[in-house]
Amino acid sequence: MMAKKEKSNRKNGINVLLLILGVAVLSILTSLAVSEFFFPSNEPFDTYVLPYDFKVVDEVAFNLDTDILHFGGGLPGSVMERSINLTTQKDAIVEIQWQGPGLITVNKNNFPLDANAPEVVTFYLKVPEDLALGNYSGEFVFSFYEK
Amino acid sequence: MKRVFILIIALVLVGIAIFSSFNSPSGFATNNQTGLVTVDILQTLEINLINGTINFGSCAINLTQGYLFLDSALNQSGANNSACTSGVFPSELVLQNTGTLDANVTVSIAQNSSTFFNDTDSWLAYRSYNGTFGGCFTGLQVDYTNFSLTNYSYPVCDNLSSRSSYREVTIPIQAYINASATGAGTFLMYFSASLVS
Repeated sequence: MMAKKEKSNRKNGINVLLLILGVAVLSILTSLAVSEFFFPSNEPFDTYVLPYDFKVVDEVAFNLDTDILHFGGGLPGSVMERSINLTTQKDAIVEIQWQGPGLITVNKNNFPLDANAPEVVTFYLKVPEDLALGNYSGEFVFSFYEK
Repeated sequence: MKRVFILIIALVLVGIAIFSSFNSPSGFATNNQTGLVTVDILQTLEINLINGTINFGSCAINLTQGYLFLDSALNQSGANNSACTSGVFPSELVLQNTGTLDANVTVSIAQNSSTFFNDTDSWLAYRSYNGTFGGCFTGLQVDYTNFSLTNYSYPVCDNLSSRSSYREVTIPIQAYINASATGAGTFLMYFSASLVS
């Protein structure tokens, strides 16, 4: 009788322990989910780095290669324009940043991109008036955020 | 107790399901880490010449003659380039294919010749030819052609080679300026290249 009661107490003890454990795990997961819901992460779910280059030359230079974004070449003051097709398999907000030489503008930025609906993004690079003849390079960084 | 425990397990599973629907950060410097993104670079390229390499300078029209005819290449007899000060002659535009893909090259304009000169009898014209390092296989614009149309792609070269030694095409410009023409400025030319189909 005593042994049976002891066994029952042990069983109850294990159950209480598991219950506490379960509640603890649930609390952690719930708080993580709730915090993610109310304070979503501002980290992108994906990024893409696209290098670019251009030349400052005393002529007009074309380069249609697609290994990186080649703007070709021109004199200071020339404006070069090149486009890409951007596709994602998941709805996103796309932010484009860049670092490198050239006065760069882009026809859209911080824009929504629906899944599997390609968008053309066009980049314009103006060769600064004071840039010396030579080869220059930089990179675009695309950040894809939860929509 | 058993029922409560099952309920707790069920809640935990739901919690995990909710949490897994959020994406964790994928890092910053790596391309396509999740494989969700595709970037296709289009095989077209446009270059707008804001600062022209052809400078006719300041030109005075001989009123007795009633017009001024300018040839940037100084190849045409009867040209009046000497009537211009601070012009640079001979002067031609050189287009070069620096990539590895052959290109179809065209040129367009923002305003036509008569609008530029404020005169219907005045014009600016271009032609294209293979110079020393010429690499245009087909589609040269042999004869001078008046820039009379906007929203039109004037042919320069249908197939500009990307071979290392011969990959250039040269463009001289001629101008006919009538005595009634007015104004001064920069004539903008937009060069466009696309993949040879």
